[in-house]
Amino acid sequence: MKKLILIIDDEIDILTLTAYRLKYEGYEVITASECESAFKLAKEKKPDLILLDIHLPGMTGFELCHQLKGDSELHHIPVLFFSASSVGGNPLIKVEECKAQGYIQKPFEIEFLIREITKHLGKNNEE
Amino acid sequence: MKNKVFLARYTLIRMIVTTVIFILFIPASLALAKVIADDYSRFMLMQTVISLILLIICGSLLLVTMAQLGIKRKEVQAGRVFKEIFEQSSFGMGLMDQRGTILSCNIAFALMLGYISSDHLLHKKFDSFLVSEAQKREEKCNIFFEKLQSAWKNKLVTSEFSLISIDGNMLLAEVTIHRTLICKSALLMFTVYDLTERKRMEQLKDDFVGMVSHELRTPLSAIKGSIDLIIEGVAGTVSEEQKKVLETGRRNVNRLSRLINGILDLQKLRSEKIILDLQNEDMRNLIDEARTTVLQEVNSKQLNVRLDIEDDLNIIQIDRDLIMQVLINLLNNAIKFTNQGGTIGIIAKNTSKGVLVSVEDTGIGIKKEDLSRLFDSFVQVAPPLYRKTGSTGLGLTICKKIIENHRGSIWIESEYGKGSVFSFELPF
Repeated sequence: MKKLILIIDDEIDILTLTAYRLKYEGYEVITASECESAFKLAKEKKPDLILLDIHLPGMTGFELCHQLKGDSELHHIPVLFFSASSVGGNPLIKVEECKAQGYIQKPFEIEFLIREITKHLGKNNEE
Repeated sequence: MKNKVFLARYTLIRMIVTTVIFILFIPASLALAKVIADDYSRFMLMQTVISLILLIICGSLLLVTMAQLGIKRKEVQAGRVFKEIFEQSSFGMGLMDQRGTILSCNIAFALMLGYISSDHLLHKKFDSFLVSEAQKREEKCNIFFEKLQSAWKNKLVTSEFSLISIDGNMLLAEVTIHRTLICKSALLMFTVYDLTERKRMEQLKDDFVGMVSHELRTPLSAIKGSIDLIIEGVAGTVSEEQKKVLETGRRNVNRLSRLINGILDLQKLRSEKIILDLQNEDMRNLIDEARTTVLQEVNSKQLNVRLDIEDDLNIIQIDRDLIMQVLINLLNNAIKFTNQGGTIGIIAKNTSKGVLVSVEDTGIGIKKEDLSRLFDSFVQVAPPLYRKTGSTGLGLTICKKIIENHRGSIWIESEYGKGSVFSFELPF
């Protein structure tokens, strides 16, 4: 069974490209471009991993992460931040604070993204 | 003012006394000469001699008085100049005693705290203007008194404090305190520099750079993602010729990405916000790790590596990741500018201050006239042929900032056409 990844980013081009590439790598992908629908989608589909941008309309990725990690049904899902942001000092500290599993700086090497995902999901299509 | 009146009166009295003595002593000298001399010619001679002596005494007295008057006038003028500097300074300045009671201050300091006259601040406690979150106020006051005591022991202390003005405005101030002697009394002199506007501008600049880099990185990610998809054949078959063209695009996207990261790194290093994660480290371990990182490049150019590392290197306190960045940058430069089959070397030895590390190469070297600007931002002195890897011109500037943030120094020796040696020294 294919692993399901939820990508949350308000930049539609990034969202489309990343989804396209991850599908090519054999993952099943669902996407959201704002926090409210993202949380609902996560509750409904229970993805195996969430790729989350930091700057999002409504609330920040950090706030959404807190919400996800505070939910009894979703707290176990690994969250990887991916962002072009450099505002607010070292993002790694905030990533740790909201119990996310990692941070990927945009623009990223696709091999690096796949490697980070594999760390948490194992090799694709592995049970 | 009182001193001036006293001085004028004192000088006037001295001059009158001198003149009176001179006038009175002319008849007195006549009488004296008459008594001493028994004939007319001797009488005339004696009178002239005594008159001359009196004239010299009175003249000298007059000259001394005039000179003293000149000195006093200069002192008064100097005092007036310093008072003017004190009053007109845009820095807050003043005097306080050992317990922080303000004894005198200028108008700039009064205005900072929302007062229209410096008199309103007299006898107030400096620490009463310190502000902090409620639970930390006591802690802040303790820090302030520690600084006062250090200053009292003749140490110049500078520290940042948040102050609150009478109308409730907060200001961030750099306060410098040092001990001074005024009219034989030991006092503490303070200068206060309002940093609020500077900090606000720094924050604006940080926000701007952050925003711009975010806005640049986002489209860059989309471009890079698209190129990657095509090159790797994910979006369909691509000919070798097309791949070659796309590789140029990808290389330059990566270059732009490195440039943005470099600008951000440099900005962080230049700002005072950077906090070094200092740990005790043995440079030998870092050198080993850096060598492993660049091993592939060394092998692909078939370079010889010469190691000269002193046994028992001093343990120094450094931010491991940042120094590693410097080492790798210097090694990458050495590899890049050394032709196939050349030699690069890493030398590390103890010095009286700490540890000295050198990275040398038998590469193309640097012209004498280029040496002085090598550490400047965006400077690339290498011939175009060697720039094919897409340098940003920020690497050495970042290295210099990192070493300077460790209170160390970095320098270069080079002979054009023969090679270069980059060295840095890190203190204990």
